[in-house]
Amino acid sequence: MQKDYDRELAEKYRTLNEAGRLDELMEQAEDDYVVFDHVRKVYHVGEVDIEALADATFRVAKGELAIVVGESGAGKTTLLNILGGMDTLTSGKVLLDGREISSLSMRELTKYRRYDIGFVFQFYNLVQNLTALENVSLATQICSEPLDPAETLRAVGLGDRMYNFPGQLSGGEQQRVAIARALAKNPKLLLCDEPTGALDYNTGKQILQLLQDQAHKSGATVIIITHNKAITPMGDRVISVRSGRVQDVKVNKNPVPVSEIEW
Amino acid sequence: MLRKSTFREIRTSLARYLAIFAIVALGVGFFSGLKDCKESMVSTARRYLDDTNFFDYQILSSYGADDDSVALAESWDGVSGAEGSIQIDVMARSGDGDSRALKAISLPEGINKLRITEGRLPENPEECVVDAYSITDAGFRVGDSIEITDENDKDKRKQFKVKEFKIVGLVNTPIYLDYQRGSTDIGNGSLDTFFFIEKEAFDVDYYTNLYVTLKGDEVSLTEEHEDMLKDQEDNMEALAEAVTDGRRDTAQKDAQDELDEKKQEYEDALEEYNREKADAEKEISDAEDQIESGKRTIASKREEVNTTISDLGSNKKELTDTVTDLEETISELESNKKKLEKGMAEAKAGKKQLEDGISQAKAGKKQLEDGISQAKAGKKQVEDAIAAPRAALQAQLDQVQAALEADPGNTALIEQAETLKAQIAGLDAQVTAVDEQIADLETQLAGVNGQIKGLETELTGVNGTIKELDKNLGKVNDGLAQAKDGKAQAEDGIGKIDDGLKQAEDGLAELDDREADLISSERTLDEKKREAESEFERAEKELDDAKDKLDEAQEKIDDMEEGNSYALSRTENVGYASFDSNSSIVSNIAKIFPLFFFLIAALVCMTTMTRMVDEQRTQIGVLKALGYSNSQIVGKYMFYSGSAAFLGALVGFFAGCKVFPMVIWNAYTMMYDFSHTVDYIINYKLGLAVLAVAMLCSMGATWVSIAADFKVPPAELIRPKTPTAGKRILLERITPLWNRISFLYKVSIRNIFRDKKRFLMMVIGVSGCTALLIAGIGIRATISKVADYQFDEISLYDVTVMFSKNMTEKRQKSFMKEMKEDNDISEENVRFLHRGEVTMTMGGKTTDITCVATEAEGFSDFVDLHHGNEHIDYPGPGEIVIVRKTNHDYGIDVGDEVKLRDGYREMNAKVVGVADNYVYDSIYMTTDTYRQGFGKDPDIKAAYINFEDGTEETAIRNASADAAGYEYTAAAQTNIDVRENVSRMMKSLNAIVYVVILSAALLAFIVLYNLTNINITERIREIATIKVLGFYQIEVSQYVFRENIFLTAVAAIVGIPMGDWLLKFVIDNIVLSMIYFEPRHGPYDIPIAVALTFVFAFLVNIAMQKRLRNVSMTESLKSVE
Repeated sequence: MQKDYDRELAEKYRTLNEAGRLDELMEQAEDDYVVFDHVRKVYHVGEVDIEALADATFRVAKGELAIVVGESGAGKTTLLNILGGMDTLTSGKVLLDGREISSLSMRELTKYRRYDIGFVFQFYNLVQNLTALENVSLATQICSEPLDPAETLRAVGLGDRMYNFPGQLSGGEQQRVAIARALAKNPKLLLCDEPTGALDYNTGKQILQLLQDQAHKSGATVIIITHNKAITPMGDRVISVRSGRVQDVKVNKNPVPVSEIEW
Repeated sequence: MLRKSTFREIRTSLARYLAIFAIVALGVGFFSGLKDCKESMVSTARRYLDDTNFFDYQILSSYGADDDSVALAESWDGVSGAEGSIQIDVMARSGDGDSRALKAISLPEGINKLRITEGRLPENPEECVVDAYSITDAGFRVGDSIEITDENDKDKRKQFKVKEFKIVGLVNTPIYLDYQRGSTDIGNGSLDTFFFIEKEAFDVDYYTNLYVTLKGDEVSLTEEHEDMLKDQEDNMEALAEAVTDGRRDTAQKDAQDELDEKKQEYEDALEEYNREKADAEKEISDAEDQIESGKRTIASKREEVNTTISDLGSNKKELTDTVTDLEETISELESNKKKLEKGMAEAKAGKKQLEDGISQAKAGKKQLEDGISQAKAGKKQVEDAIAAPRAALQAQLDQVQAALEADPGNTALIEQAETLKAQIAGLDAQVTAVDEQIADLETQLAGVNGQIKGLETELTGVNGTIKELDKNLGKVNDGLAQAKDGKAQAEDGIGKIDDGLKQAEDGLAELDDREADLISSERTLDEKKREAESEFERAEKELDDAKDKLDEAQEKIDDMEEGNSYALSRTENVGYASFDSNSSIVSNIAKIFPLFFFLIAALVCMTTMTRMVDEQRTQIGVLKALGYSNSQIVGKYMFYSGSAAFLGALVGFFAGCKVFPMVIWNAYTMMYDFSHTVDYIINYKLGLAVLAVAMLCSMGATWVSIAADFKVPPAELIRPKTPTAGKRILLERITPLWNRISFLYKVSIRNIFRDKKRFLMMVIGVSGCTALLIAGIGIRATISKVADYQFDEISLYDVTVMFSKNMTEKRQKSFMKEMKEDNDISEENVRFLHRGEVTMTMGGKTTDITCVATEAEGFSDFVDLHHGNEHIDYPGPGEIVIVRKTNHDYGIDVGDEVKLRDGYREMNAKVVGVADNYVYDSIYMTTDTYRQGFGKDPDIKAAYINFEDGTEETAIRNASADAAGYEYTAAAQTNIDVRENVSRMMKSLNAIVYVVILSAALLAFIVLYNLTNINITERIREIATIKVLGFYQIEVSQYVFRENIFLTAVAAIVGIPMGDWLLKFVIDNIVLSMIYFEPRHGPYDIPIAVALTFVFAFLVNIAMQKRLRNVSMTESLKSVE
């Protein structure tokens, strides 16, 4: 499902954003596939309250490749955790495909992760003891409508490595496995936390390409979290986070193919 | 800074720190506590034994003992003290009215002193103190009275001066160290309790027991002390014999004295009897003689009297005749007298004439006599004148005659002689002429003399006539007087005869009376004689009886047995022995068990530390990179592991040394009443050793792990350790199977086998716990049920009877007859057999063992010989079956040839079977084997009585009591009692078993907890990942714990043989003199141990749930920490 965003909308976003009129900005997504509404997250560390997210609001439409970008400590990981159902929020509202996540119980959150979310981590987090295929299967095993693990692996270009253990794969290949694992669940949302953080430049590029392809070619909704601003052009929507707030939301009418990005 | 980080480390990983602490504490506590137990128990008992001055030897003699025996013992070599004690079993009625068997003991003075637990000691013979342990069970209370009731026979009652005792206090005595109160020959055979009374309350003059303490400073309940006791055995036996001999001699002497006295009495009596009899006989015969002579006297007297009467009659007649004669004579004499007087006057005139003639004659005579004298004078003159010539002539004649004689023919000579002769004759004729003148004168004189003489004769005649007349006249006068006297006499005589006649007649009458008297006294005498005879007969019989009795008594004294003497050391005191066994069981269990336990603890501690260092790899790298020296970094971890181990060891050691003895002693107070508290022995040497080992394990593991890290450059350390590559496991190659396994299981299985180190650690740790549990439960099954095994499976008989005499067939019959009366018993229920000690030798090993010899047939109803499930046939000729303990202790096995010795007789036998047996050991053979081997018939001095299964206990007990009452029974014992005793003793071991089980459980828990904790920590990212992937809580748990359970299962399986081995090892180390333990599991032991392991695993999993829930997805995913 291809989505186009016009510049006016982007312009409006920026204007609204600059003017602080975020409420209006909120209404600017074509559909409310992902809704982050005034989310606030405070961590209690001893006596100290740390406000990881002060007031974050954004939306992502279905099939978009959104990139959340920010400095270390800006709150982007918290944002991802909340979105991924791994963490709860202090106040505000989060919706995925019209379903409110912020009000879910722990068990419902687990269910949410189980059926709706696919994760790709910086350090792949593969189970070392399982082959590539098995790592994928580990996820599909618990889903209601999974894709075929082998197919998925072939799709990410690991058709001939599926019986290898993670230890036998390169970092890039491992991350592909991780992506395959996330995709095979057929999730509503693919969340990627610094997917290239542990990879070299070229491998990173390949991975990003793979993710872009997932959104643009396979129609998956993908959110990538990164500190690397250089890769923002590849996203359909770029959400800049700083000090727990969404500072800017940009919509790329024509995202750049990864191969064209240099950093 | 580093120190801060160390403490922070401890705080943040408190669970791990505590785990190390706990496991070290548990390991150390268990190890040292259990090791300490025996010392504590022994010390407690030792203190009690020393305080009460427990005896070393007990001298028993069938003759008892007395003060002399005590003195003898006191002066005996090696003896430091001796004391006599009176112990008598009596029946008494308890407060609840039951009849109880009690033992009365004289209050001890210096040996086996009492410990008062309540009240006070008796102050007079009417008071007593009672055993504190059993008083309640026996139904008495302080303040009650113990009365020697009438149930006791007379003799028993006689042994007590006092018959009722007031209980004034409760005591403990060392002679009954444990709960066992022993058996007795009264009541139902078991003693209910015992009480102490003053010696004065007894009425016996001997001691039943003699207690002896020995010199030497060996400490009680040590091997040295036991060796000393053994060394003294011969000496003590000698003492026992000396005591017995002394007592026997005294008894014999006393008896002999008494008998001699009796004998003397008898002799006296006999003598008196004889004397009396003789007297009586003499008296009777005298009386008879008297009567006889009386009769004779009477007869002769009667005859005499009759003679006298007739004599008197004739005398009287004679006298009367005499009187008549005399009267005639008198008149004759009167006339004669007149004639004589006339003659007289005529004679007298003649006489006058004659006297005148005589005077004239006499004057003529005178003249003549003068002429004669003149003539005679002339003669003289002549004679004088011729004398000389005559002599010369004569001499000449003589010469001639001599020559003539030489020459008779010489006529000259003859003429000469004639001449001479004529000259001589001429001379002689002158003389003759004178002589003729003289003769003439003389003839004239003779005429005159004749004249005179005639006249004088005439005168003499006349005088004679006158004299005769005078004489006649006198005679007539005399005759007259005589006749008159005679007459008067005769008349007197007649009067006397008349008197005599009268007397004689009186005498006759008297004789008649006397005869009548004699006849009556003769009758009386006869009666008396008969009487005396019967009396003497009786007396004689009595004397004969007395003699027989005396002879019998003498025989008895002469045959007075040597007497049996025993010297029993304290090790043969039931309480002492049971304590010794129990404490050695405890120490034997403590031998290997805690070590195993400790090893597991050490292992787990090491694993934990290794893991920790592995986890801290990055931090170590950072610290190194920051420039901290190796020693500083090592110090940090060393401190961590060392302090945990140190604290753990410290706490464990002290807690263990306190808790274990306390708990175990607490259980043993069920058996031992003498102390409610146990001595806590702190063995510092052990403590230091354990502390050192604990710290070495923990710190050593740390050191080794860190040392490995130091070889790696810091840069690499900082980077996460390259994850171990996944590997296919063997199972996967079995594709059909592998494919069937659910995916998640595949994960688990592969995880399990991926980390071999963890796998081993887990399996060793957990299987160790399973093994401990199996062994712990197994010990219980093995030990506490040993009696059940013995009496349910092997010794099927119910009563053992020992006889004092060889049971001949006749006696067997009499025994059976007696038994059959009250009991439902037939011949098949009773087996008479030989049971005796023999010495068995094989290959230089020697042991004394009970030898059972009986017929093979039917014996399996009494004793079931088997080895495991395999039945053993009763041995054939020349064969024996031994029991397991013999096999175990002496290595004698099937096929071996052993030498058996009974006294001086020897035989060889072949071992054909090793039978299961737990309590007491013996060998089995047939009577024939015995007879042929030893060359003599076996003594049948034992019997087994077997009842139908399900016979009431009381019936068995009654039968046992009946058997005990048989005259030749020495002892009868029910297996119920043996079983109860053994069971009870063994049951107190439950405490130690529960301690072991509990400790094993705790250890299992800690090991599992620790390993699971490590597992989780190690795999936190994986767990976080799957959580993120949306695994439900339960799925996450299963994901992790499936492995745990699987590992637990593997460990449990591995643990079963290990536990089996451990049990065997522990049991093998428990060597008791009379009991053999065969390692044995109860039917549910292994399932229970395995189940317990699983229960612990589940408990750990539940405890770990929280930790899993708390695994933060977000934190753990960020990066490698």
